Amino acid sequence: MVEFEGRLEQLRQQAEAATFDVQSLLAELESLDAQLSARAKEIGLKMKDGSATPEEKQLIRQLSGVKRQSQVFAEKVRPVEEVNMGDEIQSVWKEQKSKGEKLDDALVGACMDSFEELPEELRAKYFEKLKKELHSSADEVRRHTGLRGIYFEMNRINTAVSQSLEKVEFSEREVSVEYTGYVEALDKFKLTADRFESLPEKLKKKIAKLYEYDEGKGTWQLKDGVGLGKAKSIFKEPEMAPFLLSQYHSGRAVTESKTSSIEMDVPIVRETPDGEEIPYVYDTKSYSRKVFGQLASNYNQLLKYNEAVEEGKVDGATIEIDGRIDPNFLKWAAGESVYDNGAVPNVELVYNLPLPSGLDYRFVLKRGAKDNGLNFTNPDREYSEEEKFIISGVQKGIMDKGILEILSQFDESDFDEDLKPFLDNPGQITDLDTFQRFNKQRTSSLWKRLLERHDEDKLNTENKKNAYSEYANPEFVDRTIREYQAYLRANPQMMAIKKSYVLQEEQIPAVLDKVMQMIETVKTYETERHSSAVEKERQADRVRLGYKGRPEGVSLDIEHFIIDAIQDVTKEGKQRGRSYENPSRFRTFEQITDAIQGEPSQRTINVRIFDPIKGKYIEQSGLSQIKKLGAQLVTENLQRAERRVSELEDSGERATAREMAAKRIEKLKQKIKDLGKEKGEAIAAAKKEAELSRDYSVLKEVSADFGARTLATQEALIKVYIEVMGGDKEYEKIEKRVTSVEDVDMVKYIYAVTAEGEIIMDEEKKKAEVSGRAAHSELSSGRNIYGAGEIAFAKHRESFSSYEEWLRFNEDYDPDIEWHLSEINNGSGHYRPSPDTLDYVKSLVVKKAQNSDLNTSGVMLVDSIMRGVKLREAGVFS
Amino acid sequence: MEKLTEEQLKDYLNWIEKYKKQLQHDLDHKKQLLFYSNKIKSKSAKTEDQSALGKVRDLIGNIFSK
Repeated sequence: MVEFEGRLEQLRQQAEAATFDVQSLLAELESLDAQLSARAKEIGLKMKDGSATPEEKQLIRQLSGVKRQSQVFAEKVRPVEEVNMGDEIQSVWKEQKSKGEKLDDALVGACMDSFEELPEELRAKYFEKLKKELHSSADEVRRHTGLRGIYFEMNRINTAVSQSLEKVEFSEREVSVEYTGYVEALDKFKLTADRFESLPEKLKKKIAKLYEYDEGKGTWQLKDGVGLGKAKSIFKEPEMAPFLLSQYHSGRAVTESKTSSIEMDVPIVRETPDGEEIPYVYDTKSYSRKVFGQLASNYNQLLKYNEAVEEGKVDGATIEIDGRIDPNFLKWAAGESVYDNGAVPNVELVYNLPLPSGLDYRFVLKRGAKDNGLNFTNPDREYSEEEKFIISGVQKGIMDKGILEILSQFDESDFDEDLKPFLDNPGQITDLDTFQRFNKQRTSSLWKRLLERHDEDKLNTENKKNAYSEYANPEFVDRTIREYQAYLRANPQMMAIKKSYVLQEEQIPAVLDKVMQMIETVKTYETERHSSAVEKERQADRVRLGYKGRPEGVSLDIEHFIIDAIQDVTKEGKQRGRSYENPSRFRTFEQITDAIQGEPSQRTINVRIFDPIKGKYIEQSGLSQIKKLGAQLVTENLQRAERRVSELEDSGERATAREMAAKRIEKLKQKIKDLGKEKGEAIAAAKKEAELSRDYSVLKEVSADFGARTLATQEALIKVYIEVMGGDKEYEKIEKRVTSVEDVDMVKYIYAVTAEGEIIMDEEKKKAEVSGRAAHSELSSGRNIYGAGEIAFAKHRESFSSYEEWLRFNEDYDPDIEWHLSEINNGSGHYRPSPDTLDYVKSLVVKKAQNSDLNTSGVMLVDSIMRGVKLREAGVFS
Repeated sequence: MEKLTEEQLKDYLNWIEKYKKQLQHDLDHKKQLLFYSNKIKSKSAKTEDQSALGKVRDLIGNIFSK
């Protein structure tokens, strides 16, 4: 007890000493504050008479910044009684709910989780923010979007901390920037009296107070002596903002020099080469009801960041957007064409896309000019097929900037009738349920359009980005390579699959060079070919054989030149690179047909078995195993039936049925036992006989005979058990059974049809041989093709829905049957040719096989692409 | 302080130490700012002196050129 008292006393003394220190620090601060505020007054006076130097002007910003800083500071450090902030937020939440306020529990819950995860240093700040928002008297949707914004910010801080790809630092840093910004009001605008009358009363009053109307011209002019600053609020109203913003978009905006400081949402610092730390701006924008980019201040903020990067005051700037963006703003910021860097080239834009699974996918909408953007990754996880397509749609949209349109404009037909009026201005939705329905339909509509974007490139019918298109230049190639590398870095799951596609920075120039060489060679060939006389004849031949596509064929797009060049540059050890040279290493269709009958059988059998107890399908393959499968299943099912019946016995169910069958069961069981015994004796006898006669086949016969008899008895016993269980339906719940058997003897080749009408082929490697086959682009030397995919030869391709059917087939099976042409498809990820090409390829194949013995009559034409077969290397992002 | 339990005292100590650190940080920042603002003040005063000196020179130059 004495010891305890002693420790307590010691703590008390420490606390008193620290309190004393704090008091003296506070006194010192007070005196400093007085001196600083005196300085601020002096400069203030100089500013009034216009004699303040630029340095002094900047200083006054910093001085006022200090004041703000101490406010944040007061919020940040709080006395001990209020330490448990989580509890307090929760009680506010409950209190609000008891008052009947509508709150989205899932969102508040997520806020609480994120709050608890926050670094200690930031908790007080977000505690205040959350409390204020929960208490807010605004409409329920406004409160919801406010909370969503805070949640987004907290979540991003936590992610930055947990991913530790960036250094997060909590001391407040002030960065003051002098930049050229836009004037946020107009001194003159055109607005007819009629349209003026249609404005809200309040707005009309404001305008009339500051502006004079010229009836003759229909223009409004700022009254003499009225400062432009006073008119700012007019242009924040949705009715008037477009007047101002359209000037920004057209580049006619009036600019002025502005000074302001940057506040850091997520405090990130970067180290410069000389060891100094400078901030990196990372700003989060959550706009679920309003639209980001409809206020003048949004534009100026980005201009400010752009200038701060330019001047080296910050290392870079990233804005992460969640929700809605104004299309014109996006075009202004990111530039409309592929080569346009927009009005704020130094600012990186990241977008946060919700996926159907409820998780987020982040991607870079527009890279900053320094290409030193925010380091982040998407969580390492499995995406669903649909999500993969959505992501592929995103990436494709980024490459040609189609994404700008997709993200900001909506298809009215995707929304419920009662929501349509809100499409232009969802700010008018004040009911939370309606708002959430609106949001749901907005994201579904977005997914729909991204999936469409993904599908657009499924088939290559336009030849848009080929070796002789406007995209065939080093800038586009370099950008695509970098975009792809950034995508891999941000998605660890993809990175793991596509390891050989990951480049080191120093490898990029080599890839770029290689791509440009490939493009040049193909371009020269194709341009000469198009103008050659022989090409006209060839085209006529093709049409005669049923070719319906573009006369120039299907071209390889730049993305695939890049894939091939990367594969070649990153090849290691014994790996084969990719090369468009020396196509004679491949064989032609005629050569393959000549040799095909010498190919050994490649029969594979796959059985699918359903296990209702585990609720799972099992796959089995291999001829000898499958032959034994029938007997194995009967034995296993007999055990299962026995177990089921004994369960019934334990629970006392189906007593009469059990009684009625008991004798038969005993009998059959005995018979199986007897058969086992007899089998042993018979085999022993047969063995003796065989040793004498040296004919061992008798052993097999005896074994097979007993096998069949045992099997029949087991099946009979199962039937009795089924009766006891209560019929087939009950048995189906436990019976392990074959649902399908695929029996195929087939060999596959990849092919490409050249302009000369040759079919160049290479054998498709089987699963085990990962070292890889050639790519379609290698067969064709990267040139345009008139068909590409796979050609399969088969001895047979059968599928059965029961094991017994297969048994019958297997009994009559003849391994010496000849190979015949079985399938032609368009499965080429590199070229993605239209299924229309298949008719032409078939005619060409038939023509070429005329003088051989190959049977082509049963060939199937298969559209692999539309059937959804996964294509290898269909694109860098898929 | 007499009435606080050990737990509360520890919490308080924890908090006051943090508070002290923050205050120290703020103090350093303001000291720097004051130093910088004084530097600017003397610099701008110097510029004023120099421009006055320049005017005198011009004046003398004018007299002599006449």
